[in-house]
Formats: sequence, C-alpha cells, structure tokens
Amino acid sequence: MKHRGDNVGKTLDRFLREIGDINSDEMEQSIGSVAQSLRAQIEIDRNVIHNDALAGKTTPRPRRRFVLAAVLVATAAIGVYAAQRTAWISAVVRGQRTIAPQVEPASRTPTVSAAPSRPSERTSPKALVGGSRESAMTRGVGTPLRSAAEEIEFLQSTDSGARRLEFAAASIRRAEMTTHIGTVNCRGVDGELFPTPANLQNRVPAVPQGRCIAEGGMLNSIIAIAFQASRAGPWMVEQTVVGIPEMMLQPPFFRIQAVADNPSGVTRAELQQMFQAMLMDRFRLRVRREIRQMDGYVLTVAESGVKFKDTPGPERALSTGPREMNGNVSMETLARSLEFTLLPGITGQTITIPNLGTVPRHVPVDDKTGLKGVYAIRLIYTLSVSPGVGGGGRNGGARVDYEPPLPKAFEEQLGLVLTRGKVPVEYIVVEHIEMPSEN
Amino acid sequence: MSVAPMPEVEATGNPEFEEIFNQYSRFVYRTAYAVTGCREDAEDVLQTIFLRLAKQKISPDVLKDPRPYLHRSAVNVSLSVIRSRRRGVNLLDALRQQPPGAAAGTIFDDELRSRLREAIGQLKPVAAEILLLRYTHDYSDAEIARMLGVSRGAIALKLFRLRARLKNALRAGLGGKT
Repeated sequence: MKHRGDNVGKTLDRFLREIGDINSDEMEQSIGSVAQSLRAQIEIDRNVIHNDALAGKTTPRPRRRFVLAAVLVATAAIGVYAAQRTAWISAVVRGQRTIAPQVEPASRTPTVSAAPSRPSERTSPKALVGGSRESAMTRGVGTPLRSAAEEIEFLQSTDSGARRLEFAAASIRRAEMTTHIGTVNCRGVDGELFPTPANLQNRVPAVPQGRCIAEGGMLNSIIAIAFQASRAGPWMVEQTVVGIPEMMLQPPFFRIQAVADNPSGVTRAELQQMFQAMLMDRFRLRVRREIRQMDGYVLTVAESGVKFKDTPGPERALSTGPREMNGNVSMETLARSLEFTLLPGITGQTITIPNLGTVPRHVPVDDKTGLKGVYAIRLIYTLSVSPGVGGGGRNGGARVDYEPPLPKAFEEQLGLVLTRGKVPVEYIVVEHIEMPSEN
Repeated sequence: MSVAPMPEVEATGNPEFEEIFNQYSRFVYRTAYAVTGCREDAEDVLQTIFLRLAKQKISPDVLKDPRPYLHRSAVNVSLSVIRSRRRGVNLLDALRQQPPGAAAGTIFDDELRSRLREAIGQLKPVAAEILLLRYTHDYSDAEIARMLGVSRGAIALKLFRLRARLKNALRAGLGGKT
C-alpha cells in the first residue's frame, strides 16, 4: 500500500527522474561504440552500396527522366516523319527480306536485345557476377561468339538494368509454419548459398539444384540470405536485419519457390542476384548496409604461436560434439562456427523468434589471426549443460559450461587467443518493404 | 553539462558534425534511454540521428542551437523504435532498467516502471519531449518554453495534464495489485 493515495504523485516523480538515469561508464561505452560505427559508416557511405547499384540499375531523377522521355519522343517522331517522306521504311523492309540470310553472324546488329528469353540469343547470367562483364553471350548452337569490340559496344548500347538477372519463374505464397525449422536457401552448381551446418543437414529439407526456396521463412531470414549480412545465419538473423514492420514478421510466413532458367548451370552468386531482384520487384524492397559495433570476441594468435598445422586438402565441415571439435577449416570458418555453436552457449543470452521459440543469441567473432590457409583444428573439452533461473537458462535457455573454459582451451591447445571486444557487424537496414505482389 | 572530447569521431571530414556529436551525444543518448529503457535501443537511436545528420547539410538554425532539433529527433526516433519493435520479456533488459546504485527494486516497482514507460510511449511526441526535458534533463518551465517557442504558462499547463495522465496510468497499475 506504500504507493496509494498522495504517494502516487511522489512515486511518479521518482520514476520520472529515474528513467533517464544510466551508469556513466555504460553510457560512455555505448557512445564510444556508436562513434566508431558512425566513423565506419561515413567511410562506407563514400562508397555507398545501394540496391539499385546491386541490381545494376540506375534511377534517373524525375526531371531528368522527363527531359529524356521528351527527347526520345521527339526523335522518334522526326524519324518516322522522315522515313515516310523518303519511303525509307518500305525500302528497308524489302531489303531485309532479301538480304537477311547473307548477313555475317558476327556482324554488328544495333537492334540486339539483352532479354534472356530471346530465342536467337542466350545471355549467360555469368556476365554480371561480381561486377565483371566477361563476354558470355552466344548465338545458339554452332554460331560464333561476338568479338570483344562488339561485346563492349553491345554492353554500352543497352540499359544495364536490362542485364539484371532474374528467375525464370517465382512463386510467393503465405503458409503456416510447418514442423521443421524455417528454411531459406539457394543451391547453385558450386553449392548452397548458405552452407547448412553438418548437424542440421538431416533436419532441414535439401534445396534442389538451380532453385531458391523459403519454406516457412520469416522475412528477416529471407532478406538476410538474399543480401547475405556478413554473419547472418538462417536461424539467428533478428540481430542483423532490422527495419521490417512488425506485422510482416507475424505468421503466416512466406513460402517462396523460384527457379533459374538454366538450373543445371547457374551458380550460387547468380542465384543470389536473382533472389535480390525478385525481392526488389515483388516486395518493393529497398535496403542499405550499415556497420554496427557488437559485443563479441576477437580471435588472435597467441604469443607462443599456433599449435596446429596447415593441410593441403579442401575445407571440411567443422564437427562440434560434446567432447571435441575438429575439422580442416580456415580461420574465417572457425570464427563463424564459434559464433553459432560454442560461444552462444557460454553467454547464456537468448533471443525469441516467433513460432520458433528461444534460441541462443549470436556472438560475433572477429578473425584477426591473419592466417589464410586451411588448418587441421582439434579442440578437446568436456561440456556440461546447466539450467539457470526459472528452470531455463539465464534468459530461459540452457547455459553451457566448458572444462577447461573455452578461452583457456583455445590458448593451450590451439595457440589462439579469444578475448572479449567490440566486433564490427554488417546490418541490413530495410528502408522500404510492401506485401508481395500477386504471383 | 561538462563534456569530454570524443576523439573517435575525428576525421570524418565534417568538423561541424564532429563538434555537434562531441557536445550533444550524451544528451541524445539519455533522452533515448529514458524513452526506450534499453541500452541497445538508445545506441540505435543515437546512431540513426547522427547518421542522418552526417548525410545532410546541417542547417544554420541547427548549427546555432542543435539542442531542440536533436531532442525532438531523439524523442521521435525513440518513440517509433518502441512502437515498432516487438520485445519479448527479457530479464537482462529488465535488470538494465534498474537505476544505478539503487537497491534491487521490487517486482512491483518494476511493473509500475514498465507501465509508466508504456504510458510515455503512447504520448504525442511533443508531450513526451516536454516531459523528458523537465524530468530527465532538469530544464525549468521557462527554459523549455524558450526552447519550444511557446509560453511558460502553456508548458506548465501541459506538464500538469501530463502528470495527471501518468498518475492515472500508475493508479491503474496499483489498482490491480491492492
């Protein structure tokens, strides 16, 4: 009863004065972290990455667009008038009927189109991967490739937006969550866009070659996979994709099935570009990338040097069990594995994803070892899972303890130092999104 | 308020921006924290506001006195953050809301505090702005009036009504408990 009657006013005053109180050390730490992010962001903005740029499309300003349209209309009108006056059109048509078969296949053709569906030409999506514009255009079976000069002329003569990679077919529906974990992924000839960890491979459905699918996928997972936030995993994306309206994250979730026009030859990078283009078209999506500093760990080499050897073979998935972790991996892969497997259990922090429940909070790891090879990693430990307050963990999830503690095990067995620190993490900020258009 | 220099934002190529950040980041952060009650959200608000400022040409009015602009932006962005962001019950966040140095608050106090934040979240931006200037930043009615360009009487009346509304919100919480 201490708050009753006149005390309500005093309680209100007390609460109002307290709500802005914060430990000054914490505030300085937060402000320092934001200052670092801002500096990084301002750097990035000098080389801004925008959706339109990703799609290879430029958007003229309205005034420029109007002037451009007016000039085009005027030019076309003058052209038609002149052609009629000189009977040039009919002459050209008659001429084409007779001379077309004699045209050299490699001759310059000003009316060439970049549309992939055009039967006489086939544009390999490879042409735009990674910003490169290698000549990948053929004219069907048995016809020669364009010369380099012709290819350059072609690329310069067409709207770059027309070369945007798109799926041959895409279906977007809303469906109730199924029993498995929501899956969002693409598979090209060079593998999955987001490699499924070994321990989850039997739990999520495989993606067929040349397709992107999202089964019961939440929008933040879908956007994370399409734009590949540097550390986003399909089950821990709430922290790296922000700005999606709440109502669009509620069930029913999305079921997306999309297929490339050449499923057997498309690469995962090409599928990713197609996935981005589909989201931009159907969801009217606009995003920007932003670097923020998160609490995490920094991985460095100990003064004593590393205690593992490099291996000549390719990377093998890192296997993490209750007694050991081993595999042939790069330091980058090791860092990513730590983020999703070992470290979240240590912190005991969790996030809640609707319809999925509480999952460990992602702990970013910055690889600063400078090691570039593939190494045979083996770490031995024993782990114990302890329930925390309220029968769960500290936040409702289980807390995992390692013996020896992970930082000590890393230093003693691998010669790597794992220290707490701020880690730059790429965020995808959604600036605009709408419910998808009809199929 | 004494302000220590923040060397982290040097070399952005915009000395005006750096000066404003160094001088007012704590002011913005405290406003954001008061509304959102969460460190991460307050960091997001601070970053959003200063990023927006860095991307635009700073107007002479803002350069002359950035405080009203920054405070209004902080309140608006914070309100939109708490309205759009769904938050599950998070024990860590609840613990962070405890004022520093205070003894562990009772669950009852926590409930009232959360009810108060909820009520503030439903205020119009101008009302929230006045409330925070008064209670979080300890401005007098006259200073707030000068900052917002209204009369002192209007501020006093607004604060009176706001307090009545918030008291009702607290009473509703108390009613369920007694």
